[in-house]
Amino acid sequence: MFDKRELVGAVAAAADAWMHPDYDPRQVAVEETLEAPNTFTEEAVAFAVNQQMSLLTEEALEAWTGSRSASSPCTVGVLNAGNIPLVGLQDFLAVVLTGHRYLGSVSSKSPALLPAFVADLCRFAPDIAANFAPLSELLAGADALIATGSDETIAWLRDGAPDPAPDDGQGETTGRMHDIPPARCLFRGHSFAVGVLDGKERAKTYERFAEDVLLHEGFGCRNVAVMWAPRGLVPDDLLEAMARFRGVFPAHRRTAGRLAMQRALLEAVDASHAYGEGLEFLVSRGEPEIQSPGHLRWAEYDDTADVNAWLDKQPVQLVVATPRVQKRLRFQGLTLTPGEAQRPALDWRPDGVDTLDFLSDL
Amino acid sequence: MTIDNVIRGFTDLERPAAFDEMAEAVLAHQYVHNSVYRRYCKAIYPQWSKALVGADHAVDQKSGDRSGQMEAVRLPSARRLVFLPIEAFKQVPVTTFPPEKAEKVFESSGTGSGVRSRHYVRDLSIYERAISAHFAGEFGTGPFLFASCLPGYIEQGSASSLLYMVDLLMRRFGVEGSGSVLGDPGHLRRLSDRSRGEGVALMVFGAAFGLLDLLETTSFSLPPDAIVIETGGMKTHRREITRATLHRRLREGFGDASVRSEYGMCELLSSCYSRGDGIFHPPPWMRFQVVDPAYPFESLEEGREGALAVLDLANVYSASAVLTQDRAVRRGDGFEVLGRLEHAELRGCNFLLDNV
Repeated sequence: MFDKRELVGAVAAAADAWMHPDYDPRQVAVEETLEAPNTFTEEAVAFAVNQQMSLLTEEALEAWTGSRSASSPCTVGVLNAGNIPLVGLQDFLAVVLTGHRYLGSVSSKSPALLPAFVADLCRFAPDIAANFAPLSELLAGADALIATGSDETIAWLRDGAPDPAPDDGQGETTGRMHDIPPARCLFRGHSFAVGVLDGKERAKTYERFAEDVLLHEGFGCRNVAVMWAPRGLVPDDLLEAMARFRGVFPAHRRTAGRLAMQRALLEAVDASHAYGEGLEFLVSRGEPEIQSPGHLRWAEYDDTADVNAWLDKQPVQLVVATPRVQKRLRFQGLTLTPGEAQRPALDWRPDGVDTLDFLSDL
Repeated sequence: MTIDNVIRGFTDLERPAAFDEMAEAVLAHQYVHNSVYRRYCKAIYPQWSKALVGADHAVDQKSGDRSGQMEAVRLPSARRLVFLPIEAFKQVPVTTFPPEKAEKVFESSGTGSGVRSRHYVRDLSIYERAISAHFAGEFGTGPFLFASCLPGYIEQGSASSLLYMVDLLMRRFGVEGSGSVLGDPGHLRRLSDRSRGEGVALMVFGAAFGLLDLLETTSFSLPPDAIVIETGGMKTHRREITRATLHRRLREGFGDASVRSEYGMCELLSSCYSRGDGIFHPPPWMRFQVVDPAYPFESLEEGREGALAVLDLANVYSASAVLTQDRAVRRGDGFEVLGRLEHAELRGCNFLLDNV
């Protein structure tokens, strides 16, 4: 029998245990995570785990979920991205705290952290309805679906997930893997974060921006990928802050190799750019276009109206700016102050959609 | 092997060794005459630059005919080619000649970021030979009754390489009466009837949503020998659909027609066709590799997903070794295109289907 109060207590207790870096289940999961094919660093994983666990107090969990619960509990399949550490934790908590059954699938890039936390939580709450399964089993067994992905991935899921293997010469595929109605699916597209400067920022503010840009090596929809700056502003303060950040959060060993091609292209087309020692980060000046992970685009504006017009047309997850700059922006979505982008609140709504509302309406 | 030899003979390749010789000549030529490619090579791969020290010498000499010197240049193994990221075409002219001397400038449709790629074409006859020869190799010389349905490209006008290609094929291999059926389902029905009556095979070229728009108004039973060639553009209008779904709908809507795909882009002067199985086959003068998008120097083995890198000899006056932003997997002699490798999507919370 689902007892929310008991479960909230169990989550808080498990999270408290996971706050300690030496806690055995956490330690084992972190080691396995760092060996997986991803670009996580030890420092970034510790940051993500500490940040997320610190949010999971009984009071915060109660305040977040409120009275929302499932009127018809069902099995909710959740496809976890795995591009940053513990990225699916909020979805897991939303599912189980509304009284649904959780069926998750993890990426090979981050196979250990979430399952380990869930397994540990089961020690505190043995009746919790949570399992992990390969994607095909998940799609066959889920009554509702939460997934985040590229346009193609979401298109594939909307089509019922036809077998992606090459067809048989007649163009026939071997069938759909799910028949979940669209109203019971929560699909999130790809998006990114944007920073906006007015040139009056202090050194401390730039340091916070550096975290928003560089943590998790540029991956994740909350990562600042484009920095708008008034035309003529020299980026030196930001570059210095980024260099200092790298002193605390070193780049992943693959980052420099990944950025080498980007830097070479900038040199080939004679585009203005700067990079950190050892190519631990890369910043280029140009059109406000998204670059590959770890490569920040510095775009210049003459008037904040230009920024507002651009924001209206982009799949922006959130905007980061000082309160002074925020007053001049018309962005309708989530707006944060520098240093908050990589610290998602417990009640944050990806793509502006409240996951708890979706789950309680099922 | 000189560049002139390549230009004259690339569509008549009969043995793999000839391709290697031509590729060597073309890449060395481009290293010398295409400053964007040269700067990229130097920045990305110092060893490569060292191997091409002879080419640098040729640049310094400013001599008129460099082809003889280029023969002395030996490229590293084909597995270590330097592929120029296709984004370069969006930012600067990628040419071995003064851009103002271009005979034609093809532009991309700009459906992604809005910034269009530009391909400055020095000699249109090279493009026309590449397109015609591969089409004839795949489908024969016809004649065919062509019907085209290419919404979204019309506004680009003559800058669209796709429109240019279809128009060229109509002129080369089409019978009188071939033309656009855009927004006119009745016209396609009339062409279909005519194909049956006259025994001329019907060939329908269309962008994905153009063809689906046609099918929204009515269904067609095309002649049994009709071929529908979709040219992509699944993202142009409305929401995206998968290629498998697109083909299923086209087959159902067109009465079990044979549905093929064409893979091309304004940055490449050659195109590839699938043979009904979703696998694209390049012409003899184009080779491809599937590479790790972050480390595009090593070819991935068959079955592994990566970025599609191509070596297209028809791009002799621009850049032949190009790293596309298409996600692909090698299937035997061909490749399957799985989607795009957009920077924004790489950053986002994008799960990979690695556990299907």
